[in-house]
Amino acid sequence: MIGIYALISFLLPFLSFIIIGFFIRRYGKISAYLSITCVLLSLFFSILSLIHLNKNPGEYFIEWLWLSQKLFTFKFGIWVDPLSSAMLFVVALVASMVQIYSLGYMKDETPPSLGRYYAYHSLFTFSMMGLVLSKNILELFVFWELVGLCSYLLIGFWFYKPSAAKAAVKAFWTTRLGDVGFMLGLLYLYKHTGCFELKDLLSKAPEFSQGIITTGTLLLFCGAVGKSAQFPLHIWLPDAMEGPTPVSALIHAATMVAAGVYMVARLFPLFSLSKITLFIIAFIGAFTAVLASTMAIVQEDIKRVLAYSTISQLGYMMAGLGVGNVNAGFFHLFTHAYFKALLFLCAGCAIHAVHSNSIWDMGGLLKRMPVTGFSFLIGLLALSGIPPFSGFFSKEEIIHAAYLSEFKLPFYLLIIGVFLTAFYMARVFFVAFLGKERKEEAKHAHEAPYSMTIPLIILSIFSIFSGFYKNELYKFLGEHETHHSFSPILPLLSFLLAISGFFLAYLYYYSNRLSPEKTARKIYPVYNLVYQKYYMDHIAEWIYSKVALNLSFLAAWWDRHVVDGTVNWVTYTTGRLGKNLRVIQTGIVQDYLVYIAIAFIIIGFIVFQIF
Amino acid sequence: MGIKGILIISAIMFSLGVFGVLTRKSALGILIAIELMFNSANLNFAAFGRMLGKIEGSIFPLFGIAITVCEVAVGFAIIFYLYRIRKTTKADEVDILKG
Repeated sequence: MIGIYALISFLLPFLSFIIIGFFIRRYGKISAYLSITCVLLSLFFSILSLIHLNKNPGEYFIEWLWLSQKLFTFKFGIWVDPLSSAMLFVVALVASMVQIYSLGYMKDETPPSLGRYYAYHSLFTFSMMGLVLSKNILELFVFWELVGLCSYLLIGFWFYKPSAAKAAVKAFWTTRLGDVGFMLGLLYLYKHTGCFELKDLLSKAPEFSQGIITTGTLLLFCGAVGKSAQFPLHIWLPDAMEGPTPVSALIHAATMVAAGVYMVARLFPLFSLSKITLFIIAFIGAFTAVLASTMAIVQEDIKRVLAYSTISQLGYMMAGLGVGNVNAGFFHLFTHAYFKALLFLCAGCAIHAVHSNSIWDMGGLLKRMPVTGFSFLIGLLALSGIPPFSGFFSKEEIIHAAYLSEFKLPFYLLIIGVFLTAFYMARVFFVAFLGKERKEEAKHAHEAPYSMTIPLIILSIFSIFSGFYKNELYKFLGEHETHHSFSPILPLLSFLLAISGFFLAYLYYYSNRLSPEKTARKIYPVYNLVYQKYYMDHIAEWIYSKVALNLSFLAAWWDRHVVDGTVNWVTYTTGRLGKNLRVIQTGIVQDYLVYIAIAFIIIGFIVFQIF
Repeated sequence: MGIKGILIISAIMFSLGVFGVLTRKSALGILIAIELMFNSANLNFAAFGRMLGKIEGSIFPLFGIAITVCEVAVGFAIIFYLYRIRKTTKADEVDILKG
């Protein structure tokens, strides 16, 4: 029964995608309501499966044969266990909130384009649920790519804007780069272990040699680096802000970027067997966490700040996985999904109200838009890890796990990250939501419609309370002993760091005791380095335009001249030969007779061996 | 005149026939040249039949002549038909097989 619930939950968005995509795309409103109904039903069924699974713990499979060959059989199916069913719930919840919110946010779209929007959304939700539930690594890869495709479609939703089209292509390429690694990884693992089934892979994992596991998991991790926007493939995520804001919320909270973390969490028993892989994951995660937070400090676009904060929080999750505490990483994914979706949706409301993305065009929005403002504040406190908001618990778990682990470096990086996170988030809040209105439009800003504020309220509730269910979640995920030896020093330390981050932001951006411009001028080289995003985009562009493009020119040259050349030479020679030979076809009978006579004479000579 | 002389005459006739076939413009001329080649072959039959004293050598040319008659009849029919559709009997003007 649990499997059936999950299956229904998984197929409903697909149904709505099919109906909208093929039949009723022209009727935007109907498409929107259909899609929302489907995703709400899907949420309902995912809750059912969650509840039933909590009562009867275990693992449930539904599968059917897709491909049966002599070499291997490929079964398509779903695998419902605590991890996947918890994730299914998160995806359904965030997707339904975002879809409801989009009703208000996208109301200016033309009906066909609204239909297209909801069709993509349904497909996106379906793909992510498929990824979450897949029981087979090949199936996981299929949905993995589908998720990438959907995010491409949605980032480039306003494809007539060149920047959006570019951002979509950039996102697609960058994640593709990681996906190549993922694909190689799964083929490599298949070659050496002979199984595609996740379950077999995990249960047989201890039998494999260390080298195979390390290589395979590192290759798989490449895919996660691309999807979850870890250094050095994080460059696509800030540009992905070109999409509509609800799309950003969906991508950042539950679907696209969560896929990488989820995949690592799913295959964690395999990953955990290789110390090297874990070290690399922890290090890249922690490094990304700090790097992205520094970049977030100098951004002016509210969505870009949030984008960098997502990268940084994903870094925390990866670090949590890397230091060996899979539940901490997943718990942070779980809480982050709520507050990041919340923050993005609030940002969407603010943008909607002032028609600008820049925080310097906003200001004083808390008075005019109290629901949005307080929701943003809740999201902010959760993100910065202030007790008792949810982010505090999950982040604390990760930092604690990092502290206990044998690698020390990630711990220090993550601690720095706490301070930076609090600083840049408080900066946004002080500039955009407090202070005085800087622009005429900010003065006329008013609260968003109910379709937009209700999702905010629901997500706020989750952002506040989801942290309290840590023990329940851990128990649900199958970890019975929780850390009772919770030393009070670490939470206190990170709390103080977060508060000091707030205080510094207060000095800079609210009380004006310190001037950000002056500080920026004082440390100009550092400021510029950060402002230019460490030249990562330039490097990527250089690699693309110089290395990759020239390589592809080389490949094109080879194809055009060597491969095509051979083919063309054969056809040319044949044609030339035919052209020359056609001269003898005069059509006059006597000429043919001459040929016959000559041939006869020659044959006669040969037969009688006169020469 | 021994067999050698007859064979030489036959060879000359055959060569003339080939020459005629390859050079004549008129389709009728070609047909006649073909007859010449035929008859050189018949002459050879007769000559060898007489040399070896066998009756078959003399009978075979009779069959040959009969076949020639049929062939000429078919040949003429083709030429008539050719004339009807192309208004000519010149072999070098008919080149619809030209590639």
